[in-house]
Amino acid sequence: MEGNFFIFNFKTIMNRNISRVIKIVVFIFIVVITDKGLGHILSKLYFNQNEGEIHTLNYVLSECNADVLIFGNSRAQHHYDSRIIKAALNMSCYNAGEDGGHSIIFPYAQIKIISERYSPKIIILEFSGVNDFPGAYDRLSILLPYYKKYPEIRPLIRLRNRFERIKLMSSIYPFNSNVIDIIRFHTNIPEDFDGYIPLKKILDIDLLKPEPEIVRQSEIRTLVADTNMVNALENIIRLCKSKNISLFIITSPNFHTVNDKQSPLSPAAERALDIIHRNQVNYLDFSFNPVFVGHSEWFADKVHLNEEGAKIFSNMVTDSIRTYAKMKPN
Amino acid sequence: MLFNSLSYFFFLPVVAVILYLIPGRYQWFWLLACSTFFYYTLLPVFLILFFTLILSNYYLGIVIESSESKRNSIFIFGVCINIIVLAFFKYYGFFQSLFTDIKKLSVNDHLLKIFLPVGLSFFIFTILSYLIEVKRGTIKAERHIGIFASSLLFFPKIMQGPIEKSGNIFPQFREVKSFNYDMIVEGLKLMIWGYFKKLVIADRLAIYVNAVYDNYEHHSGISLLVATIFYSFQIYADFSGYTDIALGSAKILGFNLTNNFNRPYFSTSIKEFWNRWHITLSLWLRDYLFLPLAVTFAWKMKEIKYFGLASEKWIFMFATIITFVVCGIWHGEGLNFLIWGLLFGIYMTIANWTLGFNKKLRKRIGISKQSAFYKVYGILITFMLVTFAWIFFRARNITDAFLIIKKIYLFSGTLYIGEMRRLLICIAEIIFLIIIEMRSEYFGHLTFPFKKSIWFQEQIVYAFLVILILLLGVFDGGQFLYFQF
Repeated sequence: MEGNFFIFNFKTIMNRNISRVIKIVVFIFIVVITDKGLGHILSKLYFNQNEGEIHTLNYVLSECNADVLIFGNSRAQHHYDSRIIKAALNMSCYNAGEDGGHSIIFPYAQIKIISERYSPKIIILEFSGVNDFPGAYDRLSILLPYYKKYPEIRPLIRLRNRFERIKLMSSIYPFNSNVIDIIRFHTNIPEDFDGYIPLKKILDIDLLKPEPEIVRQSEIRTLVADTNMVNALENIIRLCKSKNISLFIITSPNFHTVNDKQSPLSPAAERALDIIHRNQVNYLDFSFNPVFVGHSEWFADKVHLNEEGAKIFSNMVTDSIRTYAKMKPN
Repeated sequence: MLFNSLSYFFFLPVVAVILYLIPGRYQWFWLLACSTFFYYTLLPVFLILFFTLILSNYYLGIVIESSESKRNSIFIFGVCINIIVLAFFKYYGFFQSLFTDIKKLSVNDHLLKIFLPVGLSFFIFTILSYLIEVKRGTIKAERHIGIFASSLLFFPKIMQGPIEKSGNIFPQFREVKSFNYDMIVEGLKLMIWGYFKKLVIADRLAIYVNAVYDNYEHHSGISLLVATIFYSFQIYADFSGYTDIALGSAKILGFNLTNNFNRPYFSTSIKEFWNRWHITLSLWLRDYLFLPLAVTFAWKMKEIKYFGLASEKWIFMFATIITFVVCGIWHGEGLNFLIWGLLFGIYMTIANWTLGFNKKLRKRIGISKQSAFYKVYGILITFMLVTFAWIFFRARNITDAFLIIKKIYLFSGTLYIGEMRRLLICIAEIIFLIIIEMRSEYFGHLTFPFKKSIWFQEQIVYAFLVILILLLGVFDGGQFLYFQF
């Protein structure tokens, strides 16, 4: 009797445990299969976009072979009119700037991938500084879909988080930030001209927040250089030198109402300028350029030029590049 | 280490496995060590403060219980000390801003930087609850300092509560925790739903809300209205998501914590809203502030009419307004939080004062309190009033709040869309949340919204949620909103 009871209990426990294990396995199986299947579909869709930002990025990294390439964040994308640069320098030009407040690590990743394929003649880098800022590393998520395709940028992607390698075991995760853009139904895609996207609106000066006249020294002091960003800047310079690419690092205009409000340099800016000067890189600083001071009609907002402003600025950039080219001994 | 960080996914299973392997009498020690480590990863320096508070309140509890003659004065001393500590860290920023304005110093000056230790408000409220209950004699002072410390520092609840009553949590730390499959599965389900609410709903809504509220000067009234409605859902998804993760984590370790949310946006009145929103805080305020205040006022006031209103109406008003003002101040030091609390006090008072009038009105137009029409009407009105109050909660300061209200009132301009697809996703997420909550509210699936009779269906639903988290979750959304409190 006792033996039967024991066997009965043992069987019940065993059955219950087996059913639990089956349930766990089934759950994991469903998640993994869906992840892999959906990830595969999303990957196909991502790399077969034929317009929009994803297409531009895919094109820049895998196909573009323009003589002049422009890199940077939204300020690069909206400030450098590829048509003007192309006509003025008589070279093919493509604007590879990307919206989204990217740090210098993103253009470094782009340049790293492209330089494996070919060497452009000129690279214009819209300079975004070498200090860390909120979300700087998170925004490297734009590179996640390329993690498998381009092993050379994997260390840069892993800077996002120490667990990035584990997260990337999922096939869906790389498209996490892009899923809405992938399934875009092809609406409202802004028109671009070789990557350049003009901004149409005009800055409403009344909407600007009043800013303190003097930027406080202590606040500037907090902007220290980020090691990874410093490395990115140094590596871009090194890479361009080794591939014989003319590198122009440029800071484009911001909107200012008065010209004499030059703030003291932050430690990060000092470090970056030191690297630039030490390596004798062409550096053009238009951030306080008097031509743009007070001209709200040339700006879309405080940090972005509109189409009209971009036209003026692009002409100034090409003039400067030509001047440098004339000065440079052959 | 945050709940929404990957480190937590490694941390929790390790804690659980070792907890179930070690003998019962050492389990409290393991949990204390893990909770200390958990907090150490957040703000290590404040562990000194937490342990000092634990030690002092441990002895205070014992002294309050054992002392006959000085019980009251020791109790008052204990309460004051805790409140002073909380007030110092909570309102330092407020005085700091005044100081920096006067001295023209930067807020970045190192000496002026003092943060509010994460979870201190919840921690102090739990301790105050303990001291009050000991003083009232409803619980015995805890003599085991290890259990006292580990229950106060218990990592699933240290950051944002729930504010557990000692009578609920201490006995659970005395129990021997052994592996319980069903409880672990329940915990995991709760966690998945919590992560979904936090990462997919709250953090995605936050993108729109932050874009509009952080630059409200540039946005139209209609955009601000949409952002305010989104914020109502964002804060709910954020905080209730956190609570689900906390409750789920605790369940995995064999603990049952008190649920903080009971679908508050289905409340038909403000009173009901506070019975469903941040339940443990509401109970705390009711038991330790509102009721004592009401009793005190009842002793002081004669049972006659004042200005044509019965004394109990006045008592209710005073006690309610004071309680909600304290609730507002507890949330933050700005005037906007005070007004937020005051608004709820006013809502509750008006509702109380017009009880008779409402009853007569319902009778006259022939609408029952149980009718669907009345319920829908009540839900919408309550949601609107709560959403209006959230403006003060979300705005940076009182000036901004009033400017935002003015803009919403003028209702001019066009809707900020950003990207249409993202806006549509936000709306779809809100609809999804409402449907799920509605199902739980009206079809009886109270704790687990995806309860299915066929296990395979349930597996598919939870797997689908995991996939949606990976696909739509905002993984760099940062911390939970209630961290700041």
